[in-house]
Amino acid sequence: MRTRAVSLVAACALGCPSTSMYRSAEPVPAGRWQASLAAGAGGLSDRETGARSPTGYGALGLQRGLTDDVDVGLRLYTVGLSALATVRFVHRGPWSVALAPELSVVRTPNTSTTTNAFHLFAAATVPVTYRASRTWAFSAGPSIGGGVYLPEAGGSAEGLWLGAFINAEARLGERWWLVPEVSGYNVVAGDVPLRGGLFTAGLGLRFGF
Amino acid sequence: MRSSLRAIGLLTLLAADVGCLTTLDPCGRAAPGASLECPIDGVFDRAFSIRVPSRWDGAAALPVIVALHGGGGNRRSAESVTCPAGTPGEPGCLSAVAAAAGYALVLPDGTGLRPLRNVRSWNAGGGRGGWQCVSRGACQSNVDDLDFFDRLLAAVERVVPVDRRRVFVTGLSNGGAMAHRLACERPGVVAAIAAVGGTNQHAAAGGRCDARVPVLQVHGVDDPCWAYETRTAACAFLEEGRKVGVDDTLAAWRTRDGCGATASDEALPDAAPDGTRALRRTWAGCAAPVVHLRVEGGGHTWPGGHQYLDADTVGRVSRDFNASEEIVRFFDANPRR
Repeated sequence: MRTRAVSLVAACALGCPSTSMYRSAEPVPAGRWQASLAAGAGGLSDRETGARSPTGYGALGLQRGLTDDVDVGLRLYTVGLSALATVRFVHRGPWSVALAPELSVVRTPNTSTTTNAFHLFAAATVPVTYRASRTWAFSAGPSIGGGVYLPEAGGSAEGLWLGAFINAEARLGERWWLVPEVSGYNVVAGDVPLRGGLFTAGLGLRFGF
Repeated sequence: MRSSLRAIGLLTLLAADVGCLTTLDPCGRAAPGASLECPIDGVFDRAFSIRVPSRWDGAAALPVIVALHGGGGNRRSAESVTCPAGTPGEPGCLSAVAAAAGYALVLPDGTGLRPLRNVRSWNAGGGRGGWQCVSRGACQSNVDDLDFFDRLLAAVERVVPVDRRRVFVTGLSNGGAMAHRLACERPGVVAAIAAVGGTNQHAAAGGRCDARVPVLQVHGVDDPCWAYETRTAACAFLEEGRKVGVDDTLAAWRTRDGCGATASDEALPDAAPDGTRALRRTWAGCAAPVVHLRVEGGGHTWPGGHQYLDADTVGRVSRDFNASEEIVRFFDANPRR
């Protein structure tokens, strides 16, 4: 029997990690700040239950360049908070390669759809960026992450996922960047945030100061 | 650099403190009138609420009603859907009616979906032979809800002494179907069931069911989610496959319960001008009673309860009678013999 679920809500706004980047392997310049705004939409599916749902998210971020090769930042996304960093370890000509770790916490309240719970996520992405010109840069990279779901009723569930992203960065004037991006991941072990995968496409806007 | 790191660390801690998670502590012995939220040993992410009658003496074994939420609900919705305005604590709620009659009311959680973990369901049967895997999640994952029920009762017995002759199960929709399954598969535990808007999908799909258990079936004739007749029906999910209807379910129970062919009908007073009429049909000669409250014009709702979604989606709530009162009366009359 094939079962097809109708969309319930933008489900992963309520208990999924953000795996979007909207940035590159090039850190924010030392001593500078960069604010970002991003929004995206996509879909998720759970293999076991056959549940499919659209998903969406919004994110506000702030990053600070610490050195030429390191920045750190915070990102508020939908109902979660992330601490993130970019550590560039390769910079040759137009190419940059970095490690971008991110730690997230999502706190869901008891509602008709969510439990009173903590969702903790850790992910690491390796963005590879090619700077084609002062205006254009293209980035892509794999990511690996894990999550823990801790509900009030006790116990925990875990999950491990593999994902990837690809984006293009277009500079608009001196201070603005527009970043269209697609990203996704598939849970390969466990069931956090689900036993399946998620795909999103969105647009980011960054402002340097 | 150090100040930036410090600021980011501080903001992280502040945001994480948006609410520290308090886990549910294991429930100890309840006092009369207690209302508790309890975890269940060995069960992940599923808890239960228990409402203890205030006029209990604190020592006598209590009759227990286990009320199961519908598909997509949770233990809180199992309570609120029975309340006229959807607010627990109202006089007409199942919790109030049960407490007044001296019952402990137990409201457990089904299995949550992912990532919406409080959108829960029961493995009430189906999923083969063209029968719908009702409410998807727990059924498709083949969750062992019989084992869960055993663990639940063990957990309840740590909170209140349970009168093992008077353990009853009721529920709406997927919860009603689960009540039927429990009657089939735990007849030595469940004294009687009352299903509202959900029928015996488990048995229809070939599940084992040779029990003799008293059954009260409350069902709206205009139910758009679980049709009165055997056919495909769904309102919240687009699901394929049939759901077994009321006539087929009750015919099978009449055979199991040794009923005769004749039935007596009694029209309930048309107490509210809500476009519904209720008829109580009682079959004669049953070794275990089979009773049906047929609600003409009624929807996928708990009569006397909450219009939890608009009538265009789930149909009307009958205000002609309170299903909670009918159910408690039925349970009163049918302890396990």
